[in-house]
Amino acid sequence: MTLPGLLAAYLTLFAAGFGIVMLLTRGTVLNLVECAGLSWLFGVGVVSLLLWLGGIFLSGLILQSFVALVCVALGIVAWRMQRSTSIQFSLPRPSNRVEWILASALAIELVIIFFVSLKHTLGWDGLFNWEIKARYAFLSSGVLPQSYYANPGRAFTHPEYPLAIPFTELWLYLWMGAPHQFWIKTIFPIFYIAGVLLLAIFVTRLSGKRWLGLLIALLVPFVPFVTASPGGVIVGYADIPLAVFYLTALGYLLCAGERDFFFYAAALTFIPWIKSEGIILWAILAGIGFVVAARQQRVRFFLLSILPGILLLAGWRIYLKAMHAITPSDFARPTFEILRGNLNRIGEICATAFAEISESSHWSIFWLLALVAVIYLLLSRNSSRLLLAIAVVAPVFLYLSTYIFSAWPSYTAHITSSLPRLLLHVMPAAWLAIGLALSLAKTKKSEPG
Amino acid sequence: MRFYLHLALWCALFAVFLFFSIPVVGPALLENKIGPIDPNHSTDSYLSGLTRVRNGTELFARVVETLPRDKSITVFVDAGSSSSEFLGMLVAYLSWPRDVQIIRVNPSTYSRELSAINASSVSDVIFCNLKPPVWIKNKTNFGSSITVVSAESLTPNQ
Repeated sequence: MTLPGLLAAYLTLFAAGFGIVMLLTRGTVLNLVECAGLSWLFGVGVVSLLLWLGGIFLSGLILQSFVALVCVALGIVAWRMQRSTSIQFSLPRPSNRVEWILASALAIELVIIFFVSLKHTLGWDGLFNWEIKARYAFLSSGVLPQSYYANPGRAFTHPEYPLAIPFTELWLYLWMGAPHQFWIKTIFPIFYIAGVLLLAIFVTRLSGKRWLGLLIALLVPFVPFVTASPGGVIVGYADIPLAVFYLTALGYLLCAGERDFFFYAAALTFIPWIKSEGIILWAILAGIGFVVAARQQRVRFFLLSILPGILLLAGWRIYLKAMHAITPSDFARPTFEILRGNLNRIGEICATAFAEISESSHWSIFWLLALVAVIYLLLSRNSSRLLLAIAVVAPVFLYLSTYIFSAWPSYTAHITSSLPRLLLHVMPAAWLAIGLALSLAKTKKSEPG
Repeated sequence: MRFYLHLALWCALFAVFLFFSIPVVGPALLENKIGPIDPNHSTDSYLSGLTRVRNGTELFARVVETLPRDKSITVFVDAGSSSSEFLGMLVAYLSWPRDVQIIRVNPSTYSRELSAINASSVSDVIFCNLKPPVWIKNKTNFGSSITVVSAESLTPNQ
């Protein structure tokens, strides 16, 4: 039952995501690799949302059947759309020896990452923040009971964290018929693979050089924190998935075609649904999206595109309130008084952050590469590259500024424990910046990915 | 000229990047092996390391099954020991659906927190990497680091 169940869970998840991709695609050629990556991301988003919303009214087998039916329906819609519209699939092949070598090396590397990530246990947060919700929901007929949200003894599991990752794990549990800490680890390398392939596609599209996209994708796992530290792809945390959603929304925003804007909007919607910190990334991308939309005179379209995200954020807040969820105590409520009182922290925050980004066992010299890339982008006098530079730098500054309001007894301990994972959220976007900085060619947007 | 400078800069940066990365990433890729493909893969592994009990998830679930359902469980952890705190969280994780309360203690607060336990609402106290008071006779050890004590037996004169 376990393996067929796992397969069914993945098939329905991809079917749902594929349906969303096809609904958002507008009569164009669709790269199959891109389609697979997006199907995974949107499938995770849709299935977890359906389990949460469906769980308000349904439970048990009825809930599972309802979500499965919607997934299958979306898959059928996608299949029928593909037959009845002008959408065509393409699988771009490497065009020269260098691209073949890089593509082959990337394929081997992705297989290695997949197996390496299965070799480790779920990390501290992977178990206590994410899998715990999936397990408890499974043991409670697919719905997290109110007693979980309101139990102070389980406040350490962050009941207020959103449910995209745990409910994706729950979807696997429901199909496998039991919680299984080994098999749910498979979802994390899939996020990584989807993210790296989309990164390669974005670099290729924005630079016009496919070899560069492949090279950048190949270099990602050499950031030690991705593959060799708690927080990376190996421990089942939500940080890599969040980073992938951020990259996806940003990449499509920079590509800036009509279809791209739909994908931007969809990825943007799910960002705060992955992890609470996603609200900062959501706000930054919404701001950049506004600038892009204003330049293209599509502000109304932009406002519609951020609406689902706002509704999701508001809905989740209301739900937590209704569940009497324990309020998180990591940060004080921001006030001018606290800001004024804690301004003296800024020096220490910067010093601790500098110590972290220069920690070679975590990052090698990745952040130096990112800094050089940002300088390149700033000097390029190209507005889209300038926006990319902002998308790399702004989250880091905003994340650091939150520590002014840290309520931990030692705010430096708070920084040390959480900053590396926060930096991970920006890492793929920084690789995109590096890829574009490396490219001296002028921006080409219509190159096949 | 500008192109060659650009090329040289990025080649040098990538070379240094890989020079520092490979010694960290390489060994990390080789450590551990896949499996066991077990439903309690992670919790078993942690319990085995911290308590020396194999198949600990299932065995601890059996211990929890014997505790009264209508009362909560209090977990005592050493505030100065991250392994004790981790074990406490693991115990809370495995105690579902019972209500749990985790109390972080240090030598100066230990006795006070113990005496504040209310046996009418708490069924059992679980000590994680902490020695329970010596007067307690009726206790159940789970491996080397977890001790389960009925809340009623915490009163010294019993």
